[in-house]
Amino acid sequence: MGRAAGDPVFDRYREVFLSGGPISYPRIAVYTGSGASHSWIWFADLFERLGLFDVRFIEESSVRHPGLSGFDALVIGGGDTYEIASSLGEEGARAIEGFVRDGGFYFGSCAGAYLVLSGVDLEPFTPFDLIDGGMLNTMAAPPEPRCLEHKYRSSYGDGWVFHPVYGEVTLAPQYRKARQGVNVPLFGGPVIGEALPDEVLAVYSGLTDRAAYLWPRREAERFLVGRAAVLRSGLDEGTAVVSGPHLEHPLYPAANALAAEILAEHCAGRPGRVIEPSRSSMSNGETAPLLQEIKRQVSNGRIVGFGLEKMPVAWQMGRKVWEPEKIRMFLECAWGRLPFLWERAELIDPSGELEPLASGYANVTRISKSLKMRIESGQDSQAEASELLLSLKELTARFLSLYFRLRLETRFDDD
Amino acid sequence: MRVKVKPLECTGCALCELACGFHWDEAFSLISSSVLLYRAEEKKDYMGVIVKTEEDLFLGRPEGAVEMKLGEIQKQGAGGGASAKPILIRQACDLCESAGVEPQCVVICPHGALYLE
Amino acid sequence: MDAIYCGDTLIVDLPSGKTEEVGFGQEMLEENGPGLAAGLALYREHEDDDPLVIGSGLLTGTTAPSSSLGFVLGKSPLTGEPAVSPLSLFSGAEMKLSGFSMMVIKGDSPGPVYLWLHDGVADVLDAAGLWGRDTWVTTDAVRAEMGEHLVQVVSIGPAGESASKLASYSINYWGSGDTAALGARMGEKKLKAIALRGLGMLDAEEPPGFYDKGKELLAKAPAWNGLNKVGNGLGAGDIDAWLKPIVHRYRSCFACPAACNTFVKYNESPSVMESTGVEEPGMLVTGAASAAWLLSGGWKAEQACRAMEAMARAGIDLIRGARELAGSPLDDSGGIDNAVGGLSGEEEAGWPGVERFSEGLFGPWVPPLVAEDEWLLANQIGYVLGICPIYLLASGIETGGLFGLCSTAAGIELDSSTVAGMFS
Repeated sequence: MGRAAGDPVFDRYREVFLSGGPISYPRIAVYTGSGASHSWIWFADLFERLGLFDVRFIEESSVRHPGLSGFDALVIGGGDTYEIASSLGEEGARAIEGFVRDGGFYFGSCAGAYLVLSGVDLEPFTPFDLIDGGMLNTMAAPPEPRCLEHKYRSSYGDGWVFHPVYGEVTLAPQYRKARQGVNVPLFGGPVIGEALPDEVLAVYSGLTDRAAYLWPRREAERFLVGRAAVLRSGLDEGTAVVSGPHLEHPLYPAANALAAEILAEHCAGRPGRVIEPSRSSMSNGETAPLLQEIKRQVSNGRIVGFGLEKMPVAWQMGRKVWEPEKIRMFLECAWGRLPFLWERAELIDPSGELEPLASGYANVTRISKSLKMRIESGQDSQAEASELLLSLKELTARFLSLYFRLRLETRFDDD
Repeated sequence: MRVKVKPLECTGCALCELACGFHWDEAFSLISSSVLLYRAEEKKDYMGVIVKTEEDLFLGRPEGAVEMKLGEIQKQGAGGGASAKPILIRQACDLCESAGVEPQCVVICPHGALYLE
Repeated sequence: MDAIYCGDTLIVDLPSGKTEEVGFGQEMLEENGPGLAAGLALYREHEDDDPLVIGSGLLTGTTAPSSSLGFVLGKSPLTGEPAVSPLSLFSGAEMKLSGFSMMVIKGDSPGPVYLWLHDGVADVLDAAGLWGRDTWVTTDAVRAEMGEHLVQVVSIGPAGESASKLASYSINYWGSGDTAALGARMGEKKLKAIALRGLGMLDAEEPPGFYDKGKELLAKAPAWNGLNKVGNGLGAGDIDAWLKPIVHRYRSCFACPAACNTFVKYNESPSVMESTGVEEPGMLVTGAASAAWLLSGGWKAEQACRAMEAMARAGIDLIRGARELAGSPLDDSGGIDNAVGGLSGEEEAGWPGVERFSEGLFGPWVPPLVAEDEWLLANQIGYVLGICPIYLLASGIETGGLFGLCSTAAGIELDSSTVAGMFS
């Protein structure tokens, strides 16, 4: 995060959101349920940097019941699209569509984009149909990749979804605030076709050296350039946006600014949400020891996770391949934010909020060590890895829920 | 052009990691560089240098250097010894182009263990 | 302050098992000086609690040449006076990165414990299961417990546990330059080990200025492999030629252009490069003095290294132990273990054929390559800046450049006389 240098447009929107001016302050749901991988963390980073702290982290059950009416925006990021679609099911699809039609904002990135494209016409995706657009990166028999075989393709009906390039690409925004090319990472997201021209917000305009070329570069360029990368569609009162690349990635401030503009345009002119101040002191003698225990275990977990990164192993979960580095990504998310929890300790409920985190991170450390021993002794580690990554995802969502609550309650403290 | 390793010239001082980490973060650390000193088998004195690019890893193993595509590493699954290193989250080596200088790991190595080819 | 150090001073009260943190700031550095100078101030402040003070130098952990050095400071059982021993290899840098600038360990623990310092967290952990184990078993056990092979483990063996005056702490598996028997102090405190690991970053006050200056110094800094340069002119003999038939590779300490440390293999062929060989193929010879004693005593290289391994495992001062063994070369491993087990500790540390320099803060881990006053200054500069004083002397590197780094590191202006003044 430290390397995302400021982008003037991004900073401007941050000021607008924080000032509570003519743009409403949206309540945002970030999907962290089945099928979501790790990139939803990037959305958390993005909203935090925009000064948007009214953020909740929800799973598929919450999408279905009680539903999304309490939110202004729903974001679904990267992961296993099949798993996301299966777990949300038709009920979830109807909930999302109803939410948008009633005035909500849907932003789907990568897997979240595939999910709602009308052209993805296969079970379990058929109930999800928010945006007119097809996938161009499908083939019955794609050519063999030059590298990154494990990232190259996944089955789709009788054929395959494939990815000719993996890494940094360049977009050309198409809408009124015309800007120079925007670099952004593409990690398996859709290349969109059959889209209505006035719904195309950005097209792929070029490739860079900071990408892996699974196809020869010239062929990848021919395939990608000019094709739609980001679409927006109005449905009744609401807006749905899909993006193949990750506009939310923390190392791409210009792409983040594009995402901020899109969100701000949806929010402009809509009634703002009144957020009542709600602060009560909840700490007791257990607070400091619990915070210290969380810090201890996150640190222990990071250290084991760092050591795991050099191990020659990856795990298949559904259609996604998880590498050991993902372990530390979740832990870093909490590690960097722990000092803020210390600063606001008096506002945290020790038994309801800190204890589950302390025991959860201790469990993560325990599983990580067990995982490492199994790998080193040549034993299968799939079960431990699945348990670990699921625990980390749930724990990180719990941690960020606490963190964003504190940020929301204290957002005017420095004024 | 890429950074390669003469593994047996390496003495494990980690200056390459420090220099590369400084290139990315303007700070001194051993967690974020594109070039990585593998030193996790200290009792065996097994040590090597790994350079990450967008598409593969250059494994400067003491028994012989090899370039390994990232997909190949994943196919190997568990085991594979110390040689298969899927360090995927670190930034790929950009030959220090983003800083406008020559590759710092090559410049800083006191024993010429890293070179450009 | 954040520049170049990363954290507060940790105070460990072993009798209660509690820890607390006190600020380590610019004021401390300006009043006392960095590195060992700050350590000495802390030692005096807590002297009544018989402390061990552990820390690192101003430049430790950076791209300054040979910026590997940390220190352990405590009252030596040999002299009854404060003495300092080095933290070398990667342990000094890891201390810097652990999240604590300095650590003061006070009093004695009621039962065996070890300390685990990681990213600003300090845990006092039960070491009952490690007590009685040698340093190799201890290092393996701690790394397995923490789930990470890069944890640096400063531990004692049976010698330290019995507070033998021969005791020396060991850095991982390889012994150390502890000639002050501070390992015995750890034993008296029932402190079995200190484990260090940090994933942090060190920020210089002027990062590009520091980096460019450091790079310039490195470009001029001599690099070499082997121990001969360290023992040069001391009558130590040709250590490198003696070891050559069993040498596997040469290793550096953190950020050091000199690869003095010599890994020898005698449990498999030294030419085995794969990691699939035997688990414990040999020994890392880190000290020229111990090698010099055994060479001068007529030991064969393999047996000498096996003796050094046995001493490192037991947590015995390699220099004093080697000096005592020198006159009785042995051929069989069983005899070696017995001989090491029977060491009396009667010999002083030193170098073959060289009168030992005066008693004081610094021991003969640093070879007397120059006159005593220059030797003393090299130690002072080394331990304040965190630069290996052996490298300072053996390389002839200009200290002016290193002092120049201090201002870009932390806005501190230093020179030889201010450093010397810190110890008066």
